[in-house]
Order: sequence, then structure tokens, then C-alpha cells
Amino acid sequence: MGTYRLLLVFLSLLASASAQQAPNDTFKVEGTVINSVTGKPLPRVLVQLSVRSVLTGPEGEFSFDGVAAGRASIMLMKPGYFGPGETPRSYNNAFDVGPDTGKIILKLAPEVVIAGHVTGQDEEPLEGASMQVLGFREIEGRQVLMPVRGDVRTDEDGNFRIAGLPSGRYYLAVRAGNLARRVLGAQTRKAPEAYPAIVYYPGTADLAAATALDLAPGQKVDTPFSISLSPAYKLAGKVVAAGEWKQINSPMIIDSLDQVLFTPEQFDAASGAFEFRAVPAGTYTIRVSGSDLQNHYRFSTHKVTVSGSVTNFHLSLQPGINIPVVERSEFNKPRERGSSCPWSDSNGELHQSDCSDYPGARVELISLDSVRLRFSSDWHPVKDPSDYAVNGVAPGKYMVRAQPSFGGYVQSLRSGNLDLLREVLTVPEEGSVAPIEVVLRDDPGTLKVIVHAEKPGQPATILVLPDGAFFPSPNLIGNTSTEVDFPPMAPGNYKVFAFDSLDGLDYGDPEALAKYASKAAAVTVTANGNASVIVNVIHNGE
Amino acid sequence: MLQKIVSCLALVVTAVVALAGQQRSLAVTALAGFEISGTLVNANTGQPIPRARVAIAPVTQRDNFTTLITHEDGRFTFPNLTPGKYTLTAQARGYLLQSFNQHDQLSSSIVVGPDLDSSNLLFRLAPEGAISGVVTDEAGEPVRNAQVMLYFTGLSAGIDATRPRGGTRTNDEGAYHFGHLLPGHYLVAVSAQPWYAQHVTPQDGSMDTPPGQIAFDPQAARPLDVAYPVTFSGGVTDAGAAVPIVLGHGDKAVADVSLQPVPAVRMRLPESVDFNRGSRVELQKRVLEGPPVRVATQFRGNSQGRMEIVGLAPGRYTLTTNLPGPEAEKAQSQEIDIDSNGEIDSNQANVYVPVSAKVQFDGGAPAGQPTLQLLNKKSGEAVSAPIGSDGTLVFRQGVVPGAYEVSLFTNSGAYAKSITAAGARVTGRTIEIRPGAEVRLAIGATVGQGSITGTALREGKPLAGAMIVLVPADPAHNQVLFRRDQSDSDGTFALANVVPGAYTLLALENGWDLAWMKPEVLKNYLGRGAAVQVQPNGKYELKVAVQ
Repeated sequence: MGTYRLLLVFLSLLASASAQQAPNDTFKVEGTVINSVTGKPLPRVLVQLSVRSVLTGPEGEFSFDGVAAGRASIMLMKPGYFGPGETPRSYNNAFDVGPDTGKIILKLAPEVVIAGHVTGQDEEPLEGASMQVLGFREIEGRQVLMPVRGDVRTDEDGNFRIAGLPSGRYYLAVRAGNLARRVLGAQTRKAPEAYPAIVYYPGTADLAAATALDLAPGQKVDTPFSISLSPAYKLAGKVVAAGEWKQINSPMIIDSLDQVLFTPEQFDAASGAFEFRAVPAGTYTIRVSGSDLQNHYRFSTHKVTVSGSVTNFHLSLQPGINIPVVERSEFNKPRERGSSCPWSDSNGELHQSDCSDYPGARVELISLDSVRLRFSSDWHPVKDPSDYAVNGVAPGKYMVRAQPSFGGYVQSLRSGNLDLLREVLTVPEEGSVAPIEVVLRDDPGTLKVIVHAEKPGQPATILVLPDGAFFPSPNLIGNTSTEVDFPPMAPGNYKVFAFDSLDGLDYGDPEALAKYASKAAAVTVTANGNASVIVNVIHNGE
Repeated sequence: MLQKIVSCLALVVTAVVALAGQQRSLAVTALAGFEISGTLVNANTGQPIPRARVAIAPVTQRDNFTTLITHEDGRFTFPNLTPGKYTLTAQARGYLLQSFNQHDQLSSSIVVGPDLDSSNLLFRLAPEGAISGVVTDEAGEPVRNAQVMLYFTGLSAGIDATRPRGGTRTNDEGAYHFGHLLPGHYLVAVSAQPWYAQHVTPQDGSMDTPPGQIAFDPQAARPLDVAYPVTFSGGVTDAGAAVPIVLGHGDKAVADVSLQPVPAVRMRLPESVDFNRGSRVELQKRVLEGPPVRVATQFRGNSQGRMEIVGLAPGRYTLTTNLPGPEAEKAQSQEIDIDSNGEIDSNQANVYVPVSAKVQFDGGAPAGQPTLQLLNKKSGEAVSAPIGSDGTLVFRQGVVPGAYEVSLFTNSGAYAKSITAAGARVTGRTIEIRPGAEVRLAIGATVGQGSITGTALREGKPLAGAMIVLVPADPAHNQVLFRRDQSDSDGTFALANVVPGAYTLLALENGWDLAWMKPEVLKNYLGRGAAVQVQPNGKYELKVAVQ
């Protein structure tokens, strides 16, 4: 649906205890959709109740005939509007269908609009500047700043307009590093000039010094920029790749969020020679990358400060470090595996395996330094112990996760003396990392969580956090209003939280959860045991 | 001088170059101290353009600019130049970025030196036009993210045709804008889906409606099972009825488009499509004669277990199906008409034709990535395929039947010296691909393209700004062999990469308004052109009289 947002008044799968009617009784459901800021009715909102969809009328009104009694849910959608919160899991607004249903009032919040004007050299409007909005998004339970809208360019009058964003905190950047070529003569050979690669609102190259835009629903802000040309310099040199490579890619100058700022005007893959012709003075990160002989993407990053022409800059490309994985399965009964594990070899040819030669767990390294950087163990038959490894890992800090492939649970995850379920793995520039040892067992316990809500039917999101762990495993998050049975899990001590909303909560960060620890319920899951725990709903932010 | 200008916008101006008619200045003997000077004016009104950027660069060092800003009276002077040829380019807000006396991608370079006058140039800059508008839906609300396509109808590179000139998307206010436009006739076409559309397939619902649910009602679903047909400026959906937007110099036109929904139809996919086996399906639509535009697709299984594409407006589509792995060669494209009942008439399907080729290079395949291009003579659309190291290539998804011209692109400058085909008729560079007839091309390739330099003369004197056209024999079937330039201020020109063969060289004054690629237009001029037989690696120096 492109830029449209699905607005979910979210469904609850559990039947309400209050639905007393015979299942064949049907009722009329009617209501009105209003703008949450102005209170005015909203016409032409798409309203969906199970398989039926209607558009609201001129007064925001809608109705459905023949709805069976019970717990129902409604989804709303209209371009330019958002529900309360923006992630489907963040709220829940189901209602009961019966003789007492009455008229429902549903609210939609208007989008925010960031508009502005970019002035360039000679006080002229700057056309073609690339505007980027940064916002917070949840990744692994952490609120991470990342680009949420790009590819908006200023028009020939230097104006831009970005809409379709929910209320929230944003940063705005203009990227104009390659626009000097549109200024006649600015990229002359003798004394080239360039616009700055990136400027954050209101006018800084440093994201930390930028002004945040805190926008309420329906708010429109005007964000003018003024940038000018400055002397630019040649940055030339060579990519020096260690070992053998299938392909060496062109180096790129990137920003703090891994976005490309400059690509070189010249690059020769055979010799590795590159040339950026006009880079404004500043300190930059250059990424060099390539494909190794197994066709895996590898990269290295380098810092460079440009204050004059550089002609012999050497960028080394390291293959990364291979970390072997060793799996030990302490299973009591033979594990059940699928019968069909297709895989394709390096020539792209498809093969079939009966899965018996596949690793029992996939190991994933999630970078704590770079937003989307992760490395996984290969997923193909293990003919030789060296086939089971996480290859080409770039230096840095990682959290490590293992996911059983064919059942069981991860009893322990270690690298040498490190307990990877509770400690960070640091991968050095050179040298080696002790093998990652995964121990799998098949005697999990079960856990039933019973939610005590103030209002019956109030939704909650349940988090189950192993004591001392980094982050809750995603399969331990439920969404329920009364009780939930979790999938079999590793024996151990857990804290159980039930939040009314996860909006803006860094639930992946143990420190962010620590302040709610007194409201969490503690439970111990034993091998083959059946644990249950009662937990009160915690109000997010209280 | 063939000018690679910074802007990708081409331009047609009816500028008159008066260089040859100007008084010769007194001979200057020093080897420096020459100048390029003149006045920058609005090509439409003749008014001077102040505070604009003007730059020169030696033609041998095109990135070695000297830049200045014009005075209040539009004057500019580049003093102390050494003799040589210079490009002259200007940029001003509200005008297209242009080189001196620019036409299409061609312009005249300025030659400075003894006995040459490069002062008091009249540099005419064409003001740019714009088309903008708002796309609204049937309720008058703005349509966001609608695909807006711009088409130009008129003379471009010697052919009178309708060609795409850009595309954009509407913003949250439904607004779109195309700037930097040449005068001419334009059409705007809008493609969008109703944001609220619901393409629900009737299912055999169970008799009992589960709690909180509602029974499916096909009658109730119908009002939202709609689509927008491609709609042109003026609100019409028939391309033939679209009224062009006539844009004059510097005009800012407004073309709002209102979309009206029609009941959506479904397209049943061929039985060979099996998503479980990795089939991929792509749907495209050809708007006017332009290249096909991708159509967003939603798939649904129907009650017979076949897959359908839902939510389409009736019309003609191009459906491409792909299978992975060893069956990739079964990829197929076909043009399909869907009427308002949504049924495909398979007899009408215009199936793409498989085309393969074997290219025999004299002295072995060249380095780099050589490609073979087929240029559709009707639509102007080019399809190309890489030539393998064994000289073979295949157009994987086939080719729409029609007339194509064949050309090679290689680093080595290799050209096709012979073209034969099984399954298609070949005339010159043109192959006729017929429906249902697989085509196998055999191409002999060699290196050694020639070049021609020369001078355009009128009454024995060099003429600046003349259009130079190198016309191949049998021009109707050899459009890719045409070469073109514009004479510089000293009347000189250069044509590179000339495929050996017989040609007629023409110099035309004000030739920019001619459909010069058309044989019926050319025949008026060919008699007074200069015949030249270009041999492999031949280099020719010619004088040609301006007509």
C-alpha cells in the first residue's frame, strides 16, 4: 500500500467472557470516526470488520449489519492519519458485540508535515537536494535512530515537503554532496567546490548537535536550510585486499547511519585504484567491501580526515574473522526433523537434503555498533566441522543468539569463558575468537502467564526475561488480555512483565526494564515442569 | 561540435547564429590575449540576463572551467585566452542550462585565434517551462503517491513522435511538478490505485458466523472492488482523446487530473504459473507508445485453485512470467487485453518472440561487456542483451513483434558488418520480427570505424551553427547509422564512430525543425549533399555546402 499506514484497532483473539448470547444472534454495529485533534468527524475512512469493508459517510459515520455476538475488532485506514500509536502491537481496541454495544467512537490522529526550503550558492534555491528524516524505530526491543523517510528531493524552487509520518521525535538532514555538478563550473578541475555531504537541521554536520523536531499530531513545521559551496579536494588511493577475492566493490564514503554520502568518480576493480574528485573538508568514514571466494559479502571501514588533496590513501579490505560453531545436543528422544531441506550450492544449483546433516541451531551475531549489521552461521549441510561457522565477522561488539532449527532449547551458549546468553562478544581486528559452543536440550518446561488487569479484557503485552539476559527472545512476547501459554522454554529463573503498551519502551535494554523490576513477577521454570505465574498489568511510563 | 552538456535536458531553440556575417576584427598577432565576449539574452524576448553564470572550457579539457557572472546588462568577457576551441555554457534561474547555440545535444564551440572573431556573441538562452497540477479522486480528495508520466509529442532527433519525457509521483497534497521543459506539446498520464480498494474473492463461507465476525456479502464488497484506469490530462482515459498541453517558451501550465473509479477486473494467470515452484509474475502496461510501466499487482487464489491478479482496470497489459532455475528459458511475455468481464482472450494474446543471436567477432570477443541492442522503430524503446564470451546471447523474455534496428555496443568500437537472420527478414540494419516466428540472428563483427571531419561552407565561407547530418544509404532501414554534429564558430565539424559504408553528407541551415530522419524529407536535400564511401579505419576531410 505504499505510504499508507495500516491503522489497527487491534484484534484480540480471545472471546470475551461477557458474550452470553447464542452464537447465531447478530447485531448492528455502528459508530463514528473522528479526528483526534479537532474532534471533527472524518469522512471516507476505510472501516473493516472481519471480511466486510465500508467507507465512512460525510459525518464520519459507519455501520455493519449482521455481526455475530462476541468479541469483535475494527481496523481503520485513511491516508494521512494514524491510530493511537503506530505499531500494531502497541494497543488494542476490541469491543463486545451484543445488545449493549451502543455507538462506537473511534479516533484517528492526523499526520505530521515537515516542509521547508533549501538555499544554496548565490542565495539561489537549491534544486535536487536529498532530504532525509530520521526517526526512532524498534529493533530488537531497542529504540534506534534510523532513516524513516528518504528519497524526497527539493524541487526547482528549493522547496520540499515530507508528510505521512506519525507524531513523534524526528531529525532532518539535507544531503547535497553531489549537487555541485549542477552548478555550472563548480566542479572545475583547477579548484573544485562542493556542497557539504550532510547537514542536520538547523545547520550542523554533527547529528549529536542537531535539533530534534518534536511533533504533535497534525503539526506542520517549517525547516529552512541554507548551505553553500566550499573548497573540495581529491581523495584518491587504492583498495588493498588481503587474500583472494571474487569481487572488490567500489569504496563508499558513508555517514554515521551507514548511508552513502559519496561514491568515487573512478574505480578500477582490477587494481583497486579509486578517486573521489571533490570531497569537502571534513572527517569521513569510508567503507570498502567485496565478495570472498565463497561469495560472502565482507567489508572494512576506515576513518579519513580530508583537509587537502590526498592521492595515495590505502584502504585495507580484511576478510573478517571466521568463528567456528560447535553444537552439542543432549536430547533424550530422537529429534524430529523435516524431510526436505533444499539448498543451493555456490553455482546456484538446487539440492535436496533429508535435513539429518543440517546444524541443529542457527547462530546469529547482532552488532551493537551498527544498526543493521548481523552475521549468521551458514545454513547448509555440514559435511565437515568447518562447514559450521559464522564467517567473515567484522570487528566490533555483538550480542549472540542461537535459534534451534529442529526443536529443543538452547541450554547454554558460550565462547571460551564467555557466557553469551549474558555477555557481549568482542571480535578483534585480527586474531581469532574461541569457537561458539551451543548446547541444546529437549526437556523444556512450560509457562502459563495469567494477567490481572484493572479492566476485564484490557490488552497487555507480556515479556519474559531470563535472569541476567541481554534481551528477551522474541518468541517470548505474547499479546493477550487474560492468559497465555508460552511455547516450551529453557529451564531457569525468569522475570515476567505485562505492559499495557510497549510504545517508546526500550524493552530490549535490561536497564530500561530494571525500573519496572519491582512490578514484575518472578518464576522458575524447571525441566519438564509446568510453571505458572500471575502478573499485574504495568502502565508504561508510570 | 558534439556537446555533452551537464543537463540531460535537450533543447530546441530557433536561434540564429550571426557569426559568419559579423565583421572580421583586425588581425591580432599575439598568441594570447584573445577573448570570448558577448551578451546573454532571453531567447524569447531578447532581454539581457544579468547575474547568470557563464563558463568556458577548452574542448580538450571539458572539466577545466573558467566561470564568471554576467553584468547587469548581460555582458560577459573572458579575456587573455590562448588560441583554441572552447565550449561556452550558461546557467540562469528560470532558463535551461545550455551551451552556445544549442540544439538537441549539439552546440557550436567557439574558436579563438588570429583572424577569428569571438567577441560580441549573442548568447540566446531559452526560458524553461513547467507543468504542474493536482491529482484528485472522485471525492475531490488528493491522491497521494500517484504515478504521473509526462509525454512529449514533437520533433526530437529527427523523428516526429510521442516519447516519454519523465515521471514523478504526487505528494501528500496530490501535487506533481515537471520543471525545466522545452516548448512543445505534452501529455500527462496518471496511474494510481484507489487507496481504499478491496479486492475480496468470494469464498464459500461457512453457515455459522464465528463470534464477532460477519458473513461475506459479495454485494456489499462490490463498491470497493474498483480500480482507476490510466487517466490523461483533461480527465480522459482514451489516449486518442487526450488534449495536449501546448507549452510555449517559459510557460507554466497547470494540468489537474481527476480520477474516477471503474469496477475492477481480474486476470486469470496461465496454468504454467506455479508460485510453489518459484514462478514470478510481472504485469506492465504500455501507456501511449512509451516503454511499459510496471503495474502494482495483488494476487488471489480463485475457487478453482488458479491464481488471479485482482484490482485491474480493463485494458491491455503485458504479462511476464518467469520460472527459476533450469526452466528460466521458459520465461514468456505476452500482451493481453482484459475486457470488462475480466476474461483473457488467448487468441488475442500477442506473445513475445524468442530472439537469440550469435556474434562472430573478427579476432575474438572484445574485452568488457559487449551488448547487442534492438531498437524498436515504432516505440523508440531499446532492449539489449549481453553477448557471452562464446558470442551467443538470448533475449530472455522475448521481444514484442515489430521492426527493430540492430546495433552493437563494445569497448573496442566493433560494429556489425553483416547481419543475417533465420525467422526474420533483414533489410540493412532492420529486422522484421513476426508473431510466433522464433528469430536466430547471425552477426559478423569487426573493428575499424571511420571518422569524418570537415567544414560547412556557404558561398565559400565557413558557416557556424549548421546542422551536419551523415545519411546512410537506404536511410529508412539504417537509422542507427546516422551521425550528426553542428558546425563550430569556424564552420568545422567532426563525426566519429562511422560504420564503414556509403553515405551522403549534408549541411543544413536551420535543419532543427526538420524530421531529417524521414526519407521523404531527406530526398529534397540528398541531391546536393557530398557523397562519401567510408572504408574501414577511413579518415576523411570534407567541405560541404550548406543548404
